[in-house]
Amino acid sequence: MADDDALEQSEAFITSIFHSTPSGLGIVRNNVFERVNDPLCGMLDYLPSDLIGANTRLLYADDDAYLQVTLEIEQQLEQGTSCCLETEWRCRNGMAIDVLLRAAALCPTNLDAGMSLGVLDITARKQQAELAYLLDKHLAKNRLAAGTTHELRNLVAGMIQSNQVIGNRLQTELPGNLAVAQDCDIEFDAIRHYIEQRKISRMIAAIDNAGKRAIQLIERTRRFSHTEDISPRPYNLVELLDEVLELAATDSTLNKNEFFAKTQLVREFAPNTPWVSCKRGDIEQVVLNLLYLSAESFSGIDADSPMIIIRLKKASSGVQIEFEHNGTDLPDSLQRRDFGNLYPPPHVGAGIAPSLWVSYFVVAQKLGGKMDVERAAGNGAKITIRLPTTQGGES
Amino acid sequence: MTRNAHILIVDDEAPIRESLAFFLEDCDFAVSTAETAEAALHKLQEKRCDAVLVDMRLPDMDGETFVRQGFKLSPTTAFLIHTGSADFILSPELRALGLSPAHVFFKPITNLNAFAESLRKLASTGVG
Repeated sequence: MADDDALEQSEAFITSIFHSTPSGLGIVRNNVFERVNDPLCGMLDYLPSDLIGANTRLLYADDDAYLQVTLEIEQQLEQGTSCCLETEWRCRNGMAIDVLLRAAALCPTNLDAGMSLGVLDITARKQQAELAYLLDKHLAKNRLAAGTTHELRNLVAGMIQSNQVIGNRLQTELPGNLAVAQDCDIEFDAIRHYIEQRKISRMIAAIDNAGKRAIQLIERTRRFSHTEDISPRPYNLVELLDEVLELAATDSTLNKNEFFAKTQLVREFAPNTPWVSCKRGDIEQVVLNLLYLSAESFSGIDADSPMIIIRLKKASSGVQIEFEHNGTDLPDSLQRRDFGNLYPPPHVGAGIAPSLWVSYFVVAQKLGGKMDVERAAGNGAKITIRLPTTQGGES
Repeated sequence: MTRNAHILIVDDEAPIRESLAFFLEDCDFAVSTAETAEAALHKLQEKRCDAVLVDMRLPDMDGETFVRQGFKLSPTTAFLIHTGSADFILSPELRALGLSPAHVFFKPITNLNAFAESLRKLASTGVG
């Protein structure tokens, strides 16, 4: 009787440890769950009764993934070692999570006795690493862009300045021009007549105009790649959005998107929109990210009239910017208002979740605003950004 | 007859250096050019310059160091900055030598006639 009590107490003690441990734990025999603890069920959004008696195949996306993991665990346990590996599991709602599995044989000499399986959800850690990687890549590109824009500026300087010399030497009655023309037995007026008739003057003007536009583009790219504002200052968003959209027209990522090329970009900017205190680079980053996101929404669908509407208007307590498109809806997992808890879930399309998450971060943390996502009236989605206006409501 | 102002242009980019030299020659400046800071310092020692237009990124020396060394050789010369860095800001050291934002020109110079006029005034007043 005393032995039974001791056994019962021991069982209760082990069960208590099993369920109170913060990590997911399961006992698996022949790939079937015999016991699962509450943290494991919570992690996967299953009830214990769903998992106990179920084959672990339930948690994998396909047979290949399941067989690969079970084979690797078996091989390592047969070698007499515990096993540690990363894989991807599916929750009850189909959402994928990254997990770290630690398997150990309950009886090293008899693997048929089963194994304990420790499970750690490492989704957030992997996504943070991915974001850190993206950030590092972004900074590297910025450094490259800053160097490239400097070199481009030099090249265009040589072109614009040489062009001015050409114009000066062909069109202006300078003593040096007259002397050389005389040496060549040519009337300077004849030279001027020739270049007018051959429309060379117009071409010189066109080169000058193109060079100045190139410098504007280089300058905008430089400002985007190297945010110059040390602290926020008031900006007229109508002008700023126009400039960013012009910059977007030169964005190779957007222009390589075959759907974006066919997409009509509609600007609905209300006049006299209040100014917003911000850093220029923050607005540029959000607008380009959301344009990219909107362009991606047309991938894989046959939209009749793909359209992205960008609205800018005065709101009750600030300024409202809307990005509305008639592409695909955002996945349910992104239809949340609480972006603060949103890590980019995997398998929602390359780049979509990070773009949205980074945009939310900039809007909420850097600009002191709010960002919402909702389904558009027809197809597609609408992203709304609300920003506070500059003190005094300058307009 | 007044002496033509002598300008030294220091830039390692030939199209920039030559286009400025040609234009200024056409505007009756006496113009010398140099590809490197070292060559420019030699020219400053050999012949007086009313103004030196210097690129800030030279292969052998940064523009600021060049201005400091050039100023020691020729303190009455106007040293002018020509830069492709749109966010260039004059350092306290350059300001102490008398340079002001009026002495800074950003690449490209889109109106060389206006530049030539500014240069004529700055060359006549020297630094500070």
